[in-house]
Amino acid sequence: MKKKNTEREGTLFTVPVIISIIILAVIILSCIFAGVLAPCDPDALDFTAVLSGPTKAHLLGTDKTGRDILSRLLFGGRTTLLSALGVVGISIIIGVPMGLFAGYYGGWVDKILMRITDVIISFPSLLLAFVFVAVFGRGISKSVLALGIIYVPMLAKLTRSLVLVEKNKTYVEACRSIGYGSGRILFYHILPNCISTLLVQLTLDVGSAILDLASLSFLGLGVQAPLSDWGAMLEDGRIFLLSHPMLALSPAFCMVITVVALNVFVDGVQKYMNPQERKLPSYKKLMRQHRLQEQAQNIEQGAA
Amino acid sequence: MSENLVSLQHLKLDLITSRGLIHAVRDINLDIRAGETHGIVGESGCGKTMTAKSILRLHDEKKTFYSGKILYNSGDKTEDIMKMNRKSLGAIRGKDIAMIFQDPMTTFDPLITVGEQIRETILTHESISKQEATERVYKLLDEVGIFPPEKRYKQYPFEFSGGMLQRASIAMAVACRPKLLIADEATTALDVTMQAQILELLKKLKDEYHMSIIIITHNFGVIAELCDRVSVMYAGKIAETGDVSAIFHQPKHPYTKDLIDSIPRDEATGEKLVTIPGFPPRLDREIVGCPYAPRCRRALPECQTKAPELTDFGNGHMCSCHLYDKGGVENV
Repeated sequence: MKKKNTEREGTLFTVPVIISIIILAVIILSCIFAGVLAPCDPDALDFTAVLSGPTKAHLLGTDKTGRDILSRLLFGGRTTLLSALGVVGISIIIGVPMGLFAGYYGGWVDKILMRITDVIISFPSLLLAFVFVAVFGRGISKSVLALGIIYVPMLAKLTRSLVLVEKNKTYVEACRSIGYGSGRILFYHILPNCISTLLVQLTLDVGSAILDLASLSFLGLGVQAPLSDWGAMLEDGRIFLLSHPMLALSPAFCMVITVVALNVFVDGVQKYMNPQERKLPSYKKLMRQHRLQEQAQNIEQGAA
Repeated sequence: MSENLVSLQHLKLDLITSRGLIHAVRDINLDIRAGETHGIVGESGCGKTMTAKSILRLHDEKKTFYSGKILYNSGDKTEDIMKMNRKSLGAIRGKDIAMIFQDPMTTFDPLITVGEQIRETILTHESISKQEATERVYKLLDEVGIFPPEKRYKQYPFEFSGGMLQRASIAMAVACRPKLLIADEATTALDVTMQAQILELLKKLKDEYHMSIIIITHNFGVIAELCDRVSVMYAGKIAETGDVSAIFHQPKHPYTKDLIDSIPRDEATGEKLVTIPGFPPRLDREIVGCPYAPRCRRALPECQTKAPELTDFGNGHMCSCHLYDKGGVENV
């Protein structure tokens, strides 16, 4: 860690990044410790307080079957975040190497990989998800797998196009003239240069993965009742939007906050990874340091 | 033969493009002797860079078609670079033969510090510890005139000026003490003072490391400054090869003469700059006869129909032109 600090100037921890890290930490921690924090059992039905507004017992109110919304939010966060990350993770593991190889090697490797992605893209994604679920069976883990595979083509195509741009740059040729092998050029030089754009696509994917999972859950293919999930809660609350807005708004709010915080965080990381855009000490601060040094020198000279 | 470090024999290079084949290099014979500085001059698009890149086989192999031999003499044996497998080619690239590119701003990976990139070069080819390699990089940076090396080591390519980056890329190229350094228009992207400094640096390093240098340029000043021998290229062929003094003082090929005449001179104040009329021939077609014939002031009837053969004027001075017979006597 110490070595990193000396080699890299500028800092990752700018104000927006710190704020987004705090928000993300709060969300993640509260999901992890949902069992401790939740005031009620998320699946317990309370028919005496169906669709109640915010009360002392139910801080955010209850849904149509009298389940505590706050508890469901906390527990639902687990499934939502884990499955969204799962979807994106699967698409990274398959899509990025696919795009790298297709873009770098070209020729028949490119053709075969890209035709595979074309096949996947040519089906509407939800329909394809149905097919996957029909084959593998229902359940959250299966729909995560299905969505992950559906997200592969976009990522692979994006990676491929970025690689096509990068591989023709002089530094790649310079790397070859030094005698580096293809794998090394691909993973140590081309991939890092593509990653900032890929990160943006990945954060967008996290947002749409949450929504797509919600629509799968809505169709009864994803999250199975009584397990809660933000997307499913949003769908449930949609009907009561005018009479009981809390039902839909609270999961929506959680989703928005998570996605925005994630975007800000990734933005910061992306800036940090590009040495030209890294946040550097301000001009004032540097001038102050400079002046202090000069003063110290003057004092030394005076003493001598 | 043994003194030749690299020898190109009947090298042909065709580029496969969507509009058909481009015959970029047409049957070139070129010997690079150990320890010499060899200049390759010619106008844009005459195949200088293509020739140089083919020595390291840097072209996209799917889009180029080679024929001919590139013999590389590594001291104990002579190998044909054209027939090498990837592994032995990778061992030669950067270790025995290194290259400097035209635009220093794009030669380095923008995300990795300059020092680290140079260190990686050393670590790829030599099995020494990271610590030792870092020390070597400091020494190299110091040698090429980048101060203070410890601080510059940690900086990214965008924090360097063009001239400094070119120095750094020279440091990277000579990091493993190559036997041959190919400088592809290494000074073209720099301003005049920086050019002079870089040339000075190349001269110094050449003496120090005892390497051969191939300088590719369209600037006769650079040639006069640095080279022992020169090859003049035109339309993918070598028009004339010889010692620098022979080329400058007794140019044989009309193209060389025209090129030298078109260098701006200070004594010619007020006179119109001499130019060569016409354009170089298209490289996507076969050329019948001498490629320079359409623009040549002294073209003979046979120039249009028959390709000229090489005439030897002795002392390594060769020229392919119909104006001279086999013995080197001027015909007309």
